[in-house]
Amino acid sequence: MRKQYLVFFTALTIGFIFLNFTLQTKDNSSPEGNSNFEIPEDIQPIIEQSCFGCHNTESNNDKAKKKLLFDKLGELKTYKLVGKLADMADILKEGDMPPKKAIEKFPEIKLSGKDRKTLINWADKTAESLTK
Amino acid sequence: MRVMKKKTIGVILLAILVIIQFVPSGRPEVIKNNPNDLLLNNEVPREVAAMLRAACYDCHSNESVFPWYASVAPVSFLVNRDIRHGRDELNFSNWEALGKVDKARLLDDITEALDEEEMPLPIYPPLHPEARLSEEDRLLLIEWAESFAESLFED
Repeated sequence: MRKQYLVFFTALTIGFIFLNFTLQTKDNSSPEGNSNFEIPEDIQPIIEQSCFGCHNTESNNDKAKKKLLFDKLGELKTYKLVGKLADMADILKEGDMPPKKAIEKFPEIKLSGKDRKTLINWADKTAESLTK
Repeated sequence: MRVMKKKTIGVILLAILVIIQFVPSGRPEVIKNNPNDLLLNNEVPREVAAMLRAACYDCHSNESVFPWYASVAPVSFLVNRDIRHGRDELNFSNWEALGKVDKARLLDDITEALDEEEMPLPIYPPLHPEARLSEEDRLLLIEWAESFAESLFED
């Protein structure tokens, strides 16, 4: 009797392991977001210097995290990614980011006019190209 | 003496109230015929359309309905400012004139404003019972905005 149970559970466990594998391969073959989305090399340092400090998964700034996570952009559905990029361009155009208070504390995060323009351009263009 | 003083204050306040009625309040124009309207050009579920009209359209369309007190200063100043600002951010009457990027951005903003209960503005539902959204109503609107946004990217 005991042996029978053992065989049964072993079979069940093996079954589950296989099921996991099939599910995983399925997941990988049809990703939900834009997993091929990448921040270009000329943009990355600017974001790292001025934005990433608050807008990343490990940040302590909950408000910033809620609005935008640079390390999760690729997981967003296309419309959301477009929305975030468009918001980013708007906020940068208004000069609302990085926040004045944060710049007072950490002067090194200040965006130069040139970098700001580069970021806006990239966000606008990328949003536009995603709608094509 | 005291009575006199109270009376004077009352008269002055009344005079101010009368005078501010003549200050232009910048009332936004109401336009009934909007060929680019969101609901006119898209198949929106009836329940969702009704909620959009009841809870959003007063400020986010050209079809604002003004209750009587919205014509009386100083309330008129506040109401008109909210409507101007609301239309500026999002005007469903001009929806079809927007590009895909703006549509996606606004639909995403709608889901967030509803989820964080930023909208409707807290002052609005107490005065407009039909604009009181239950948790279910909010979810329904959010789901609609998400699927509508996703449909923009399906070819």
